[in-house]
Amino acid sequence: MLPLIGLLAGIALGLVLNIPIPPVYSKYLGIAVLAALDSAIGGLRASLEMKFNDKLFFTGFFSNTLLAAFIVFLGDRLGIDLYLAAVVAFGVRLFQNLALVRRHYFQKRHWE
Amino acid sequence: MKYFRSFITALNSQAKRTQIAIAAVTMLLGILIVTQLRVHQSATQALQNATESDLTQIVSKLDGEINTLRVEAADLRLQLFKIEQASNNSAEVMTESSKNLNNLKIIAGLTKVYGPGIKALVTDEDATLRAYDMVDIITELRVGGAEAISINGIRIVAATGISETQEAIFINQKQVAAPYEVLAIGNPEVIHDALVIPGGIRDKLSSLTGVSLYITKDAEIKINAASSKKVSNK
Repeated sequence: MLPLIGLLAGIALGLVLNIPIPPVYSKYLGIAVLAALDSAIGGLRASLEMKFNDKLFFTGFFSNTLLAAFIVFLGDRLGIDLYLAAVVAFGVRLFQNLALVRRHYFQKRHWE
Repeated sequence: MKYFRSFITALNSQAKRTQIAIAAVTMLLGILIVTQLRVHQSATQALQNATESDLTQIVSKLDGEINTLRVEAADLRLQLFKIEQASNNSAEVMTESSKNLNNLKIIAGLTKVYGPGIKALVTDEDATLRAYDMVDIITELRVGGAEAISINGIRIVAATGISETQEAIFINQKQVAAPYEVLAIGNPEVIHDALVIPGGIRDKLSSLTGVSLYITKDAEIKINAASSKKVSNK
């Protein structure tokens, strides 16, 4: 419930703030979105598995985002679409985490 | 009611921290998504929304603009070329006309003249030389291409008058006396040849008693301007 409120608050905040970012950095921003999404769903999964650690959660979020940004930067410098690596890694984890969350949810419901 | 109570207990538990943490990240996620969508949209909206025909139109419009600008550039280049040429031409005209002006000034005797030429000394011990002999000398010098002539320091121009009385010869109403020093600027060889040609002026002068003509070539002769009184009738 609270995460959903947070998401809506974030969207509202983004609409209100209207942060100006040059189109050049839209790739970085996309990767950051993916990292944030991955972290959010990973956190949801961890909470469902009852092994959520907020320190681990936040450090994971920031380190993932920074590493992804660095990979994009490196790819830009080398002329390789290295950001695809980050996209694939985050994408795979997203689907895995989503699948696990789904499973946990149904198992919980089943237990009730 | 039961749901509400469970929510309250959840807030006080470990689950509360979990929820807050995830909420913080999802809030960040929301901000990022909105910003990214906005950036992406503004970057691609202009051309993304255009249909194929619109794009074709835009491209052809830009092509037309390029062509117009090219034509304009060519026009301007042509104009520049024309102006450059015109300025060159006017410079040529200027030098040409100033040259003409110089020549005319020399002919009119308005300026001092320096240059190679001849120096001729005409002696007249028995005063047998007449005004028309003087005119003959001047004529022969002109035939030889003399640009400037002076006799005893008096510049000879088209308007110069030579006259005589019983006793003396007058140039521009000024009495001149022998020996006459004749200066002429021009090609020394040609003038010399014009004077010494057989049957020419030298032979004619030599036939007069007491008259002789000595000619020397000089690389640097200076002839003064005509006295302004005579030529200032502009």
